[in-house]
Amino acid sequence: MDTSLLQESTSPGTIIISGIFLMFFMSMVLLLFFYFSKKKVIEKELEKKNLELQYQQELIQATMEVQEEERKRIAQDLHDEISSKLNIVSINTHLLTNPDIPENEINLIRSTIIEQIGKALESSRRIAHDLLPPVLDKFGLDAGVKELCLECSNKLTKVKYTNAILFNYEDKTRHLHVFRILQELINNSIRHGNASDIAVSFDKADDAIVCTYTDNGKGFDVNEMKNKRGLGMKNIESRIIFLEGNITFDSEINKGCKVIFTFN
Amino acid sequence: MSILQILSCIGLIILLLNTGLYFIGFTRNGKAYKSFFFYLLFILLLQIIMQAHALLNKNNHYLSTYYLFFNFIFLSIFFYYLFYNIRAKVSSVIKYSGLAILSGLCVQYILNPQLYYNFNSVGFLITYSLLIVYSVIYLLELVSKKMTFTYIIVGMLVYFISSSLIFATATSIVSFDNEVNMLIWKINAVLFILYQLLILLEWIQAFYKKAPVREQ
Repeated sequence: MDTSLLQESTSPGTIIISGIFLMFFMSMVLLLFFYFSKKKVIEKELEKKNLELQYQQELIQATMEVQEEERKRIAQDLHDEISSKLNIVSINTHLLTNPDIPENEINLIRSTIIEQIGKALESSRRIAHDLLPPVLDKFGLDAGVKELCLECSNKLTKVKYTNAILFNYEDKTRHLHVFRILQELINNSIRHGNASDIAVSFDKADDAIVCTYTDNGKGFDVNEMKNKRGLGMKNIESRIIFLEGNITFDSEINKGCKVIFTFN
Repeated sequence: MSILQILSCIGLIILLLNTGLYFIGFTRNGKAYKSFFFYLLFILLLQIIMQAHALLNKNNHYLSTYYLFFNFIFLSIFFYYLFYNIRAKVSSVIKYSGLAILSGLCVQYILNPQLYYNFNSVGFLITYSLLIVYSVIYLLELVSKKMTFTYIIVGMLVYFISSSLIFATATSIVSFDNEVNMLIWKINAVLFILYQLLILLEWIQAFYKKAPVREQ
Protein backbone atom coordinates (compact mmCIF):
# COMPACT_ATOMS: atom_id res chain seq x y z
CA MET A 1 0.00 0.00 0.00
CA ASP A 2 2.74 2.40 1.04
CA THR A 3 4.85 1.57 -1.96
CA SER A 4 2.00 2.14 -4.41
CA LEU A 5 1.21 5.51 -2.80
CA LEU A 6 4.82 6.54 -3.07
CA GLN A 7 4.91 5.49 -6.71
CA GLU A 8 1.76 7.36 -7.43
CA SER A 9 2.94 10.54 -5.79
CA THR A 10 6.23 10.58 -7.65
CA SER A 11 4.85 10.16 -11.16
CA PRO A 12 6.48 12.56 -13.67
CA GLY A 13 3.23 14.48 -14.03
CA THR A 14 3.15 15.26 -10.32
CA ILE A 15 6.81 16.26 -10.40
CA ILE A 16 6.17 18.68 -13.25
CA ILE A 17 3.10 20.14 -11.57
CA SER A 18 4.94 20.65 -8.31
CA GLY A 19 7.84 22.04 -10.36
CA ILE A 20 5.51 24.58 -11.96
CA PHE A 21 4.21 25.65 -8.56
CA LEU A 22 7.74 25.85 -7.24
CA MET A 23 8.75 28.04 -10.17
CA PHE A 24 5.69 30.22 -9.64
CA PHE A 25 6.57 30.54 -5.98
CA MET A 26 10.17 31.42 -6.85
CA SER A 27 9.06 34.13 -9.26
CA MET A 28 6.82 35.57 -6.55
CA VAL A 29 9.71 35.57 -4.09
CA LEU A 30 11.87 37.30 -6.69
CA LEU A 31 9.19 39.94 -7.25
CA LEU A 32 8.78 40.50 -3.53
CA PHE A 33 12.53 40.90 -3.25
CA PHE A 34 12.48 43.60 -5.94
CA TYR A 35 9.46 45.25 -4.36
CA PHE A 36 11.08 45.53 -0.94
CA SER A 37 14.40 46.67 -2.40
CA LYS A 38 12.58 49.44 -4.23
CA LYS A 39 10.79 50.41 -1.04
CA LYS A 40 14.06 50.58 0.80
CA VAL A 41 15.71 52.66 -1.91
CA ILE A 42 12.79 55.09 -1.87
CA GLU A 43 12.96 55.35 1.92
CA LYS A 44 16.68 56.10 1.76
CA GLU A 45 16.14 58.75 -0.92
CA LEU A 46 13.37 60.34 1.11
CA GLU A 47 15.62 60.45 4.13
CA LYS A 48 18.35 62.11 2.07
CA LYS A 49 15.91 64.66 0.66
CA ASN A 50 14.64 65.45 4.15
CA LEU A 51 18.16 66.02 5.39
CA GLU A 52 18.86 68.31 2.45
CA LEU A 53 15.68 70.22 3.16
CA GLN A 54 16.57 70.56 6.81
CA TYR A 55 20.01 71.84 5.88
CA GLN A 56 18.54 74.38 3.49
CA GLN A 57 16.10 75.57 6.10
CA GLU A 58 18.94 76.02 8.55
CA LEU A 59 20.81 78.07 5.97
CA ILE A 60 17.79 80.25 5.27
CA GLN A 61 17.36 80.81 8.97
CA ALA A 62 21.04 81.70 9.32
CA THR A 63 20.81 84.12 6.41
CA MET A 64 17.83 85.79 8.02
CA GLU A 65 19.59 85.98 11.36
CA VAL A 66 22.63 87.55 9.71
CA GLN A 67 20.38 90.07 8.02
CA GLU A 68 18.73 90.97 11.32
CA GLU A 69 22.12 91.30 13.04
CA GLU A 70 23.29 93.57 10.27
CA ARG A 71 20.17 95.73 10.58
CA LYS A 72 20.67 95.96 14.31
CA ARG A 73 24.26 97.04 13.81
CA ILE A 74 23.32 99.68 11.25
CA ALA A 75 20.54 100.97 13.51
CA GLN A 76 22.94 101.21 16.40
CA ASP A 77 25.57 102.95 14.26
CA LEU A 78 23.02 105.47 12.99
CA HIS A 79 21.73 106.09 16.48
CA ASP A 80 25.09 106.38 18.20
CA GLU A 81 27.15 108.12 15.60
CA ILE A 82 24.82 110.22 13.50
CA SER A 83 21.63 110.93 15.42
CA SER A 84 23.49 111.97 18.57
CA LYS A 85 25.70 114.38 16.66
CA LEU A 86 22.80 115.82 14.67
CA ASN A 87 21.05 116.28 18.01
CA ILE A 88 23.89 118.44 19.27
CA VAL A 89 23.81 120.39 16.00
CA SER A 90 20.07 120.90 16.36
CA ILE A 91 20.35 122.16 19.98
CA ASN A 92 23.18 124.49 19.08
CA THR A 93 21.28 125.88 16.11
CA HIS A 94 18.34 126.60 18.40
CA LEU A 95 20.71 128.40 20.76
CA LEU A 96 21.78 130.62 17.87
CA THR A 97 18.20 131.85 17.42
CA ASN A 98 18.46 133.52 20.84
CA PRO A 99 19.17 137.28 20.12
CA ASP A 100 21.02 137.99 23.40
CA ILE A 101 24.10 135.86 22.95
CA PRO A 102 27.48 137.50 23.08
CA GLU A 103 29.78 137.33 20.06
CA ASN A 104 32.31 134.93 21.63
CA GLU A 105 29.52 132.42 22.50
CA ILE A 106 28.24 132.57 18.93
CA ASN A 107 31.70 131.69 17.70
CA LEU A 108 31.89 128.78 20.15
CA ILE A 109 28.50 127.42 19.08
CA ARG A 110 29.41 127.81 15.41
CA SER A 111 32.63 125.87 15.84
CA THR A 112 30.76 123.12 17.77
CA ILE A 113 28.23 122.84 14.93
CA ILE A 114 30.97 122.63 12.32
CA GLU A 115 32.87 120.05 14.32
CA GLN A 116 29.79 117.89 14.96
CA ILE A 117 28.67 118.04 11.34
CA GLY A 118 32.16 117.05 10.29
CA LYS A 119 32.04 114.05 12.67
CA ALA A 120 28.56 113.06 11.46
CA LEU A 121 29.79 113.21 7.88
CA GLU A 122 32.80 111.09 8.71
CA SER A 123 30.60 108.56 10.51
CA SER A 124 28.13 108.34 7.66
CA ARG A 125 31.03 107.77 5.26
CA ARG A 126 32.41 105.02 7.50
CA ILE A 127 28.99 103.31 7.83
CA ALA A 128 28.54 103.40 4.06
CA HIS A 129 32.04 102.06 3.61
CA ASP A 130 31.37 99.19 6.00
CA LEU A 131 28.19 98.30 4.17
CA LEU A 132 29.79 98.24 0.75
CA PRO A 133 33.40 99.26 0.29
CA PRO A 134 33.47 101.73 -2.61
CA VAL A 135 36.82 100.35 -3.80
CA LEU A 136 35.27 96.93 -4.30
CA ASP A 137 32.37 98.47 -6.13
CA LYS A 138 34.49 100.68 -8.36
CA PHE A 139 37.73 98.79 -8.87
CA GLY A 140 36.76 95.14 -8.44
CA LEU A 141 37.61 92.26 -6.13
CA ASP A 142 41.40 92.51 -6.38
CA ALA A 143 41.49 96.14 -5.19
CA GLY A 144 38.73 95.46 -2.64
CA VAL A 145 40.60 92.59 -1.00
CA LYS A 146 43.85 94.55 -1.14
CA GLU A 147 42.21 97.41 0.72
CA LEU A 148 40.61 94.99 3.20
CA CYS A 149 44.01 93.45 3.96
CA LEU A 150 45.60 96.87 4.36
CA GLU A 151 42.85 98.03 6.68
CA CYS A 152 43.14 94.93 8.84
CA SER A 153 46.93 95.12 9.07
CA ASN A 154 48.24 96.88 12.16
CA LYS A 155 50.98 96.55 14.76
CA LEU A 156 49.56 93.26 16.07
CA THR A 157 48.38 91.66 12.86
CA LYS A 158 49.90 91.40 9.41
CA VAL A 159 47.74 90.41 6.46
CA LYS A 160 49.57 89.30 3.33
CA TYR A 161 47.77 89.24 0.00
CA THR A 162 48.83 87.63 -3.29
CA ASN A 163 46.82 87.30 -6.45
CA ALA A 164 47.49 85.54 -9.75
CA ILE A 165 44.06 86.10 -11.25
CA LEU A 166 42.59 88.79 -13.41
CA PHE A 167 39.01 88.97 -12.18
CA ASN A 168 36.15 89.59 -14.52
CA TYR A 169 34.54 92.89 -13.58
CA GLU A 170 31.13 91.64 -14.76
CA ASP A 171 30.94 89.12 -11.88
CA LYS A 172 30.44 91.86 -9.29
CA THR A 173 27.69 90.15 -7.29
CA ARG A 174 29.64 86.91 -7.05
CA HIS A 175 32.78 88.78 -6.06
CA LEU A 176 30.89 90.48 -3.24
CA HIS A 177 30.27 86.99 -1.76
CA VAL A 178 33.99 86.21 -1.98
CA PHE A 179 34.79 89.52 -0.33
CA ARG A 180 32.31 88.90 2.49
CA ILE A 181 33.71 85.41 3.09
CA LEU A 182 37.23 86.84 3.42
CA GLN A 183 35.94 89.64 5.63
CA GLU A 184 34.31 87.06 7.91
CA LEU A 185 37.43 84.86 7.96
CA ILE A 186 39.75 87.74 8.79
CA ASN A 187 37.32 88.96 11.40
CA ASN A 188 37.25 85.51 13.02
CA SER A 189 41.05 85.16 12.92
CA ILE A 190 41.57 88.49 14.64
CA ARG A 191 38.69 88.35 17.09
CA HIS A 192 38.67 84.69 18.11
CA GLY A 193 42.00 83.36 16.92
CA ASN A 194 44.31 86.22 17.99
CA ALA A 195 46.25 85.59 14.79
CA SER A 196 49.33 87.73 14.05
CA ASP A 197 49.99 86.49 10.53
CA ILE A 198 47.27 86.04 7.95
CA ALA A 199 47.75 85.18 4.28
CA VAL A 200 45.20 85.39 1.48
CA SER A 201 45.90 84.19 -2.05
CA PHE A 202 43.99 83.57 -5.28
CA ASP A 203 45.19 80.94 -7.76
CA LYS A 204 43.88 79.31 -10.88
CA ALA A 205 43.20 75.54 -10.88
CA ASP A 206 41.60 73.79 -13.86
CA ASP A 207 38.51 75.85 -14.59
CA ALA A 208 37.98 77.23 -11.09
CA ILE A 209 39.58 79.90 -8.91
CA VAL A 210 41.05 78.68 -5.64
CA CYS A 211 41.30 80.99 -2.67
CA THR A 212 43.67 79.86 0.08
CA TYR A 213 43.39 81.48 3.47
CA THR A 214 45.82 80.72 6.31
CA ASP A 215 46.40 82.15 9.76
CA ASN A 216 48.63 81.34 12.73
CA GLY A 217 45.96 81.84 15.37
CA LYS A 218 44.56 79.59 18.07
CA GLY A 219 42.95 77.20 15.62
CA PHE A 220 39.95 75.04 16.38
CA ASP A 221 38.72 71.46 16.34
CA VAL A 222 37.27 70.83 12.86
CA ASN A 223 34.92 68.07 14.08
CA GLU A 224 33.55 70.27 16.80
CA MET A 225 33.03 73.07 14.31
CA LYS A 226 30.87 70.78 12.16
CA ASN A 227 28.57 70.12 15.10
CA LYS A 228 28.46 73.64 16.45
CA ARG A 229 28.53 76.06 13.57
CA GLY A 230 28.18 79.69 14.47
CA LEU A 231 26.28 82.28 12.53
CA GLY A 232 29.44 83.39 10.73
CA MET A 233 30.21 79.88 9.50
CA LYS A 234 26.64 79.37 8.30
CA ASN A 235 26.89 82.67 6.51
CA ILE A 236 30.09 81.53 4.79
CA GLU A 237 28.49 78.22 3.80
CA SER A 238 25.45 79.84 2.26
CA ARG A 239 27.66 82.18 0.28
CA ILE A 240 29.68 79.20 -0.98
CA ILE A 241 26.42 77.61 -2.11
CA PHE A 242 25.55 80.80 -4.01
CA LEU A 243 29.01 80.68 -5.60
CA GLU A 244 28.49 76.98 -6.48
CA GLY A 245 31.88 76.29 -4.99
CA ASN A 246 33.48 74.08 -2.36
CA ILE A 247 35.03 74.88 0.96
CA THR A 248 37.36 72.90 3.23
CA PHE A 249 38.54 73.77 6.71
CA ASP A 250 41.77 72.39 8.05
CA SER A 251 42.76 73.27 11.58
CA GLU A 252 44.05 71.96 14.87
CA ILE A 253 44.04 73.60 18.26
CA ASN A 254 47.08 75.90 18.64
CA LYS A 255 48.19 75.19 15.07
CA GLY A 256 46.41 77.92 13.17
CA CYS A 257 43.93 77.21 10.43
CA LYS A 258 43.78 76.79 6.69
CA VAL A 259 40.67 77.41 4.66
CA ILE A 260 40.51 76.63 0.95
CA PHE A 261 37.51 77.51 -1.17
CA THR A 262 36.84 77.38 -4.88
CA PHE A 263 34.52 79.35 -7.12
CA ASN A 264 34.19 80.14 -10.80
CA MET B 1 -17.17 22.89 -23.42
CA SER B 2 -14.36 21.66 -21.19
CA ILE B 3 -12.74 23.81 -18.51
CA LEU B 4 -9.55 24.03 -20.57
CA GLN B 5 -11.52 25.38 -23.52
CA ILE B 6 -13.22 27.96 -21.33
CA LEU B 7 -9.88 29.06 -19.86
CA SER B 8 -8.31 29.30 -23.33
CA CYS B 9 -11.30 31.28 -24.50
CA ILE B 10 -10.99 33.76 -21.61
CA GLY B 11 -7.27 34.09 -22.33
CA LEU B 12 -7.97 34.69 -26.00
CA ILE B 13 -10.63 37.32 -25.26
CA ILE B 14 -8.32 39.29 -22.96
CA LEU B 15 -5.53 38.97 -25.53
CA LEU B 16 -7.88 40.30 -28.21
CA LEU B 17 -8.86 43.19 -25.93
CA ASN B 18 -5.21 43.96 -25.17
CA THR B 19 -4.23 43.92 -28.83
CA GLY B 20 -7.05 46.34 -29.59
CA LEU B 21 -6.18 48.63 -26.69
CA TYR B 22 -2.49 48.69 -27.48
CA PHE B 23 -3.33 49.52 -31.10
CA ILE B 24 -4.99 52.78 -29.92
CA GLY B 25 -1.73 54.33 -28.79
CA PHE B 26 0.36 52.76 -31.52
CA THR B 27 1.31 55.93 -33.42
CA ARG B 28 2.10 58.20 -30.46
CA ASN B 29 4.34 55.80 -28.53
CA GLY B 30 7.92 54.67 -28.87
CA LYS B 31 9.53 51.76 -30.63
CA ALA B 32 9.40 49.46 -27.57
CA TYR B 33 5.62 49.96 -27.42
CA LYS B 34 5.33 49.27 -31.14
CA SER B 35 7.30 46.04 -30.95
CA PHE B 36 5.22 44.95 -27.99
CA PHE B 37 2.06 45.56 -30.03
CA PHE B 38 3.44 43.39 -32.83
CA TYR B 39 4.21 40.70 -30.26
CA LEU B 40 0.60 40.81 -29.03
CA LEU B 41 -0.72 40.72 -32.59
CA PHE B 42 1.47 37.73 -33.36
CA ILE B 43 0.37 35.67 -30.36
CA LEU B 44 -3.24 36.61 -31.07
CA LEU B 45 -2.97 35.30 -34.65
CA LEU B 46 -1.17 32.19 -33.46
CA GLN B 47 -3.82 31.51 -30.81
CA ILE B 48 -6.60 31.86 -33.40
CA ILE B 49 -4.82 29.50 -35.80
CA MET B 50 -4.26 27.07 -32.93
CA GLN B 51 -7.91 27.15 -31.93
CA ALA B 52 -8.87 26.54 -35.57
CA HIS B 53 -6.54 23.53 -35.66
CA ALA B 54 -8.08 22.22 -32.47
CA LEU B 55 -11.57 22.65 -33.88
CA LEU B 56 -10.60 20.80 -37.05
CA ASN B 57 -8.81 18.19 -34.96
CA LYS B 58 -5.53 18.76 -36.79
CA ASN B 59 -2.09 18.38 -35.33
CA ASN B 60 -0.83 21.82 -34.30
CA HIS B 61 2.61 20.88 -33.01
CA TYR B 62 4.42 22.56 -35.90
CA LEU B 63 2.92 25.92 -34.78
CA SER B 64 5.10 25.72 -31.68
CA THR B 65 8.11 26.31 -33.92
CA TYR B 66 6.66 29.64 -35.09
CA TYR B 67 5.82 30.49 -31.50
CA LEU B 68 9.39 29.66 -30.42
CA PHE B 69 10.94 31.87 -33.09
CA PHE B 70 8.63 34.86 -33.20
CA ASN B 71 8.04 35.02 -29.45
CA PHE B 72 11.80 35.35 -29.04
CA ILE B 73 12.30 37.76 -31.95
CA PHE B 74 9.53 40.20 -30.99
CA LEU B 75 10.37 40.21 -27.30
CA SER B 76 14.10 40.61 -28.00
CA ILE B 77 13.29 43.65 -30.14
CA PHE B 78 11.01 44.90 -27.35
CA PHE B 79 13.77 44.56 -24.76
CA TYR B 80 16.34 46.01 -27.17
CA TYR B 81 14.37 49.26 -27.48
CA LEU B 82 13.44 49.20 -23.79
CA PHE B 83 17.10 49.26 -22.77
CA TYR B 84 18.20 51.49 -25.65
CA ASN B 85 17.99 54.75 -23.68
CA ILE B 86 18.55 53.31 -20.23
CA ARG B 87 21.54 51.07 -20.73
CA ALA B 88 23.04 50.98 -24.20
CA LYS B 89 25.39 48.15 -23.22
CA VAL B 90 22.55 45.80 -22.26
CA SER B 91 20.83 46.79 -25.44
CA SER B 92 23.76 45.68 -27.59
CA VAL B 93 24.14 42.48 -25.56
CA ILE B 94 20.48 41.72 -26.31
CA LYS B 95 21.10 42.35 -30.00
CA TYR B 96 24.12 40.05 -30.28
CA SER B 97 22.87 37.29 -27.99
CA GLY B 98 19.55 37.35 -29.86
CA LEU B 99 21.30 36.93 -33.19
CA ALA B 100 23.52 34.16 -31.78
CA ILE B 101 20.57 32.22 -30.36
CA LEU B 102 18.59 32.61 -33.57
CA SER B 103 21.43 31.34 -35.71
CA GLY B 104 21.96 28.48 -33.25
CA LEU B 105 18.29 27.54 -33.54
CA CYS B 106 18.50 27.68 -37.35
CA VAL B 107 21.49 25.33 -37.29
CA GLN B 108 19.55 23.01 -34.99
CA TYR B 109 16.61 22.91 -37.42
CA ILE B 110 18.88 22.38 -40.44
CA LEU B 111 20.61 19.48 -38.70
CA ASN B 112 17.32 18.01 -37.55
CA PRO B 113 14.46 19.06 -39.91
CA GLN B 114 12.13 16.64 -38.17
CA LEU B 115 12.13 19.04 -35.21
CA TYR B 116 9.76 21.35 -37.14
CA TYR B 117 6.88 18.98 -36.43
CA ASN B 118 7.82 18.54 -32.79
CA PHE B 119 8.18 20.54 -29.62
CA ASN B 120 11.71 21.96 -29.36
CA SER B 121 12.30 21.65 -25.61
CA VAL B 122 15.91 22.88 -25.67
CA GLY B 123 14.97 25.88 -27.81
CA PHE B 124 12.17 26.84 -25.44
CA LEU B 125 14.39 26.46 -22.41
CA ILE B 126 17.14 28.66 -23.87
CA THR B 127 14.90 31.42 -25.25
CA TYR B 128 12.74 31.52 -22.13
CA SER B 129 15.79 31.69 -19.87
CA LEU B 130 17.17 34.58 -21.87
CA LEU B 131 13.87 36.48 -21.72
CA ILE B 132 13.71 35.86 -17.97
CA VAL B 133 17.23 37.28 -17.59
CA TYR B 134 16.21 40.40 -19.57
CA SER B 135 13.16 40.85 -17.33
CA VAL B 136 15.26 40.54 -14.19
CA ILE B 137 17.73 43.14 -15.50
CA TYR B 138 14.86 45.49 -16.26
CA LEU B 139 13.40 44.95 -12.77
CA LEU B 140 16.82 45.73 -11.32
CA GLU B 141 16.77 49.04 -13.20
CA LEU B 142 13.28 49.65 -11.86
CA VAL B 143 14.50 49.46 -8.26
CA SER B 144 16.05 52.91 -8.46
CA LYS B 145 13.97 54.51 -11.23
CA LYS B 146 10.38 55.01 -12.22
CA MET B 147 9.76 53.54 -15.65
CA THR B 148 6.93 52.26 -17.81
CA PHE B 149 6.11 48.63 -18.71
CA THR B 150 6.47 47.53 -15.07
CA TYR B 151 3.41 45.29 -15.01
CA ILE B 152 4.22 43.80 -18.41
CA ILE B 153 7.69 42.83 -17.22
CA VAL B 154 6.32 41.45 -13.95
CA GLY B 155 3.76 39.40 -15.92
CA MET B 156 6.42 38.20 -18.32
CA LEU B 157 8.70 37.12 -15.49
CA VAL B 158 5.97 35.18 -13.67
CA TYR B 159 4.57 33.61 -16.84
CA PHE B 160 7.90 32.67 -18.38
CA ILE B 161 9.41 31.28 -15.18
CA SER B 162 6.31 29.24 -14.36
CA SER B 163 5.57 27.99 -17.83
CA SER B 164 9.17 27.35 -18.85
CA LEU B 165 8.89 23.93 -17.25
CA ILE B 166 5.70 23.19 -19.20
CA PHE B 167 7.27 24.10 -22.55
CA ALA B 168 10.54 22.38 -21.76
CA THR B 169 8.80 19.11 -20.93
CA ALA B 170 5.91 19.43 -23.38
CA THR B 171 6.95 16.39 -25.40
CA SER B 172 6.82 14.14 -22.36
CA ILE B 173 3.65 15.77 -20.99
CA VAL B 174 1.75 14.35 -23.98
CA SER B 175 2.70 10.85 -22.89
CA PHE B 176 1.13 11.28 -19.42
CA ASP B 177 -2.36 10.11 -18.68
CA ASN B 178 -5.01 12.45 -19.91
CA GLU B 179 -5.98 13.89 -16.53
CA VAL B 180 -2.50 15.09 -15.63
CA ASN B 181 -1.94 16.27 -19.16
CA MET B 182 -5.09 18.39 -19.08
CA LEU B 183 -4.28 19.73 -15.59
CA ILE B 184 -0.89 20.98 -16.76
CA TRP B 185 -2.38 22.76 -19.76
CA LYS B 186 -5.06 24.22 -17.50
CA ILE B 187 -2.34 25.65 -15.25
CA ASN B 188 -0.68 27.09 -18.34
CA ALA B 189 -3.98 28.67 -19.42
CA VAL B 190 -4.48 30.23 -15.97
CA LEU B 191 -0.93 31.60 -16.03
CA PHE B 192 -1.55 33.01 -19.50
CA ILE B 193 -4.72 34.73 -18.25
CA LEU B 194 -2.73 36.21 -15.36
CA TYR B 195 -0.09 37.43 -17.81
CA GLN B 196 -2.69 39.03 -20.08
CA LEU B 197 -4.42 40.67 -17.11
CA LEU B 198 -1.14 42.28 -16.08
CA ILE B 199 -0.65 43.55 -19.65
CA LEU B 200 -4.17 45.03 -19.44
CA LEU B 201 -3.33 46.58 -16.06
CA GLU B 202 -0.22 48.18 -17.56
CA TRP B 203 -2.32 49.76 -20.31
CA ILE B 204 -4.81 51.12 -17.76
CA GLN B 205 -2.04 52.45 -15.51
CA ALA B 206 0.34 53.90 -18.05
CA PHE B 207 -1.41 54.52 -21.35
CA TYR B 208 -5.09 55.13 -20.59
CA LYS B 209 -6.04 58.78 -21.18
CA LYS B 210 -2.48 59.90 -20.68
CA ALA B 211 -0.12 62.02 -22.68
CA PRO B 212 2.13 59.98 -24.94
CA VAL B 213 5.06 58.53 -23.08
CA ARG B 214 8.62 59.39 -23.93
CA GLU B 215 10.45 57.43 -26.57
CA GLN B 216 11.78 54.29 -24.95
